[in-house]
Amino acid sequence: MIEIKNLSLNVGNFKLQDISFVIEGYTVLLGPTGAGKSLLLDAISGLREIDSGEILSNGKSIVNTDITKRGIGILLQDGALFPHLNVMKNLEFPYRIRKQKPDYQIIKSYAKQFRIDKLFNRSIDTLSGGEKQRIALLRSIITNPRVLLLDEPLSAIDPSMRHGMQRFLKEMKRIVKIPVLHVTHDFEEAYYLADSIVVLNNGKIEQIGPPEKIFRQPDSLFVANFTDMENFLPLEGIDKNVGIIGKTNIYCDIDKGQKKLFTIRADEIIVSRKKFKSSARNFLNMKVKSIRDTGKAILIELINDDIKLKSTITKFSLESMNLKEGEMIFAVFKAKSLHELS
Amino acid sequence: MKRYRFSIILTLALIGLSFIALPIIGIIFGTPLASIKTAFFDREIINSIVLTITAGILSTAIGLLIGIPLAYLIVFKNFKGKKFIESIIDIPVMIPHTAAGIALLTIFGTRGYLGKFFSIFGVRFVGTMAGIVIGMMFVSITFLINSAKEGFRSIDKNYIKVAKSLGANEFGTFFHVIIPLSLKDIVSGTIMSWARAISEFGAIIILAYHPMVAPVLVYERFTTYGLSYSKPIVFLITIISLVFFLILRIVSSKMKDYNRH
Repeated sequence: MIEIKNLSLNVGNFKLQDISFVIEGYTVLLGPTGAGKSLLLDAISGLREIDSGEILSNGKSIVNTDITKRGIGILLQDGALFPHLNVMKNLEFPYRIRKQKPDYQIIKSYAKQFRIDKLFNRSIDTLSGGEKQRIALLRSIITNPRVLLLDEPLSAIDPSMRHGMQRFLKEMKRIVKIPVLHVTHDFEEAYYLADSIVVLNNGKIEQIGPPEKIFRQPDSLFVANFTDMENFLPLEGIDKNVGIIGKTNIYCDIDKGQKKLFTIRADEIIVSRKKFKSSARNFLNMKVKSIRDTGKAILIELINDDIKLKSTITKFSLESMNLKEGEMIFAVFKAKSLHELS
Repeated sequence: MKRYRFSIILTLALIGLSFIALPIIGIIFGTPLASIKTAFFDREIINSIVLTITAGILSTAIGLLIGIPLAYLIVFKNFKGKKFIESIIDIPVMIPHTAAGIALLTIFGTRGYLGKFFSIFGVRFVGTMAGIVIGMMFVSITFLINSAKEGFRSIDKNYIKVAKSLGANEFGTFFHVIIPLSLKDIVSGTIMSWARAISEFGAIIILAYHPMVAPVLVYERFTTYGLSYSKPIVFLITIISLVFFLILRIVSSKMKDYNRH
């Protein structure tokens, strides 16, 4: 386990400020370009000195430990396999550089599980992006590092191969019991792989939590926007648990006189032609403004005089409801599905 | 119109090629066979060619030994005065080579600081092979350093990052990653450096007229006996250089360039 405590670092006009989190299991560091993700990775790996704070490995500080002795495995965007060495020589590199005899048993056993055992004699320029990444990953774990840092490992891979690599990384989690910090700006990738997500923006941590929490209960407007939250409702409390926007009343967690900004995922809003018995208290009569097939689901845009809402349904539901643009319909959602943004 | 434009380019290119090739062809075909045969048995000529090639190899080898670390420091380390140092490195290709000879004589001559220092170990530079090597090295090392710098600069820094994370210290990274990845540039710089070394005349004539390297012998034979006596040496050195460079270029072209895709 690696613990980062109050880490701060200035580089020119950019600052990493008071960063604290724990790398345990599979942690994903998520953030837009320029958030400071790679800089933070450099600081953890020892490529950059930090201004203040601590990096602890099993409770012991490694801030003053040289990068060569930190025991941190790094996997970069393109794998950075040495092009002058073939696959096996790349895998032998961590041993040879330490003047150790390569442990071929470990190499071969992992290689089989990583499905690269037929590539030992291949030169690097003959490999696919996915093969390169699997070999580079193996190279960085065979010496049993304390933590594995993956810097956007899938961004250089052909989109058609990316899902396969994501599945591979999930499998690797099971095979290799090394804590991982995976950096990405792709929320879907983070959601699929992470045990825990750390959202970084402009050098500061915005939120830490399990993927489901980040996805459904973002702490800030930034996280909500970054994770493509579809619906935002600025409400004013007119009674206990009743908010209003224009003339539309919405049941939510609010007190009279309070002003709050709520969000709700499109998949938590269902559409119905009729009112029905449900624990959901919000039934808003709205007009279907547009129906769009996104490929993954059907996105329905609903509108009334006061608000716009987006709901996603399946293609099957759309066909069985025979829904058309311009029709009036009920948007149904639970009061507790509305998440307050701080 | 396109054809016309291409004809202009082709004509200019042929003029350029002829400018370089004609004097060489002139030497190769304009030297009588009998005088070439005589040159083969002329001890002074053979000795001067062997000396030129040996001193060229020595100066390039020493140049590699001290030039590569210098290029490494310039590319990978940040320090004040880096631009100034880079300008100093470029000086040997800018100043007249006779001036370079005078400068070297000032330092490596019997009264120069380094001349005095090395004389403690019995090494003298005026009129010796050591002087020839120094003269050759001074005018050629810039090519080597600049090629190595170019090679080092084009290395993807991620390789270095990863090597360090895999346990390579600075020395290990240098020998196992940096050098192999920039080998093509280093070899290319070595060829250029050696070529420049064996063709040096100006600096050597001031520092070490004797023993005579081929360019000095050509000059001496030309000024003493005339053109026909200097041609066979020029013929031999041209043929030897051509063969050497052809081999080195073929070897270099077969090497992979890992840094430019």
